[in-house]
Amino acid sequence: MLRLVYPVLVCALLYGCKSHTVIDRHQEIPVAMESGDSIVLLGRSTRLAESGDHDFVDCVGNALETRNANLDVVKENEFVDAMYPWFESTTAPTEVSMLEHLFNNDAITERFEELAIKYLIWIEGRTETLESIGGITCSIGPGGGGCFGYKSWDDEADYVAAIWDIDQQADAARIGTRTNGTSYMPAVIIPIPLLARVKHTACDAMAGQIADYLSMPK
Amino acid sequence: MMKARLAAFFLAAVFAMVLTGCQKNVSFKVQTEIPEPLVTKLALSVGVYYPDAFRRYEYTETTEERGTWRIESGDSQVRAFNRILNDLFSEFRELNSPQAGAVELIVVPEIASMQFSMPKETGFDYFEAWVEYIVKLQTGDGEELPAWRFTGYGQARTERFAGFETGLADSLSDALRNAGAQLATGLPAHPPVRQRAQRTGL
Repeated sequence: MLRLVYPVLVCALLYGCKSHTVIDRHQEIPVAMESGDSIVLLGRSTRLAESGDHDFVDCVGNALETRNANLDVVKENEFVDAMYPWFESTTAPTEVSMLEHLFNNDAITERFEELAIKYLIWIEGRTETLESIGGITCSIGPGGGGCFGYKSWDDEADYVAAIWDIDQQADAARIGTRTNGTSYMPAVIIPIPLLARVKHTACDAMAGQIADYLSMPK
Repeated sequence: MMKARLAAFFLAAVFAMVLTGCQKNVSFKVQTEIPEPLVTKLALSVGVYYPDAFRRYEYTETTEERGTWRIESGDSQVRAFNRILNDLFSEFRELNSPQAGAVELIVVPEIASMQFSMPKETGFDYFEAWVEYIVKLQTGDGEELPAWRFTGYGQARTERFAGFETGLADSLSDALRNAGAQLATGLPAHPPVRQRAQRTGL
């Protein structure tokens, strides 16, 4: 039996956990970041009764700061609290044209200026398991216990970032990333997870594209 | 014999623990912090009267599936409404009775219903809470104005290793924050309030 299991394990290690990412970038207007300007990333839901993926938003924010230490990224919670009640899930603008109405409120305009927000980046999307096959059974007895079986599943992380230029109140760019990957978990006594980190890969790809866009010459 | 007794005692203890663990006796008090709202004050003097049912609002439920729940939120409701109304109107105070008083507008909030859903019931990976409010309005002269209804909605993700109560409490806390946001943005746009504010100059 082990003669069969080990080659499967080796194959899984060699070929498994691979993921591929497709990036789609569309730019409307050139970048105009200046020293002291900051950006904010906000999560938005694409499905009814589902909140934005705030973990992914945090991941992209952290990755951006890691890539560019000079980039000032305002934390999502700080921004939403500072702008309360205008950026809650039920009150936030859904289109860039709605900013004009918001900026009629002097208090909101002043708060944007205080935070020096140059770009507002909405991130929509989710990571989900598309398909899974196989199964693992575990048992325990007087002589010990263990698991046996094999399971694999396909994950997809599909996210879109819409970048709004605050000064121009216009769509600046749109970046989409879609990462697919297959994870494996063979179990011979002990389950060995060989995970494709699709969300992390999509986060890195998204942060790379946003950083690249923001660092483009005027 | 002694071993058999010990084993029986151990089994009984485990059985009792399992039974107790399965019974969901939920009891907690909601804590919510509402940020300072970024709103322009309306030139109206407003009084709010909180009926006892609102001030001491307690959600109770006893069902076979969910067990017994007792969730106190009255204090947080009052704090949330005071926070928003105080920043929304040029003059604001709490009233001891809903009778006519020396204010232009009297606000009397009521909670019409409160509902929850859990991940195991919906298949989603988050808790949800809804709080439906009726905001009754009257002028300082005692004239009744059309009431305003709205629903605060909140979500809280299922945290690994966090208790069942944490999910419920967080979703309700989020619903109160959402209710505050709707109060701050919706009440000034409610026609009877907007018309009175326009009449007084803003």
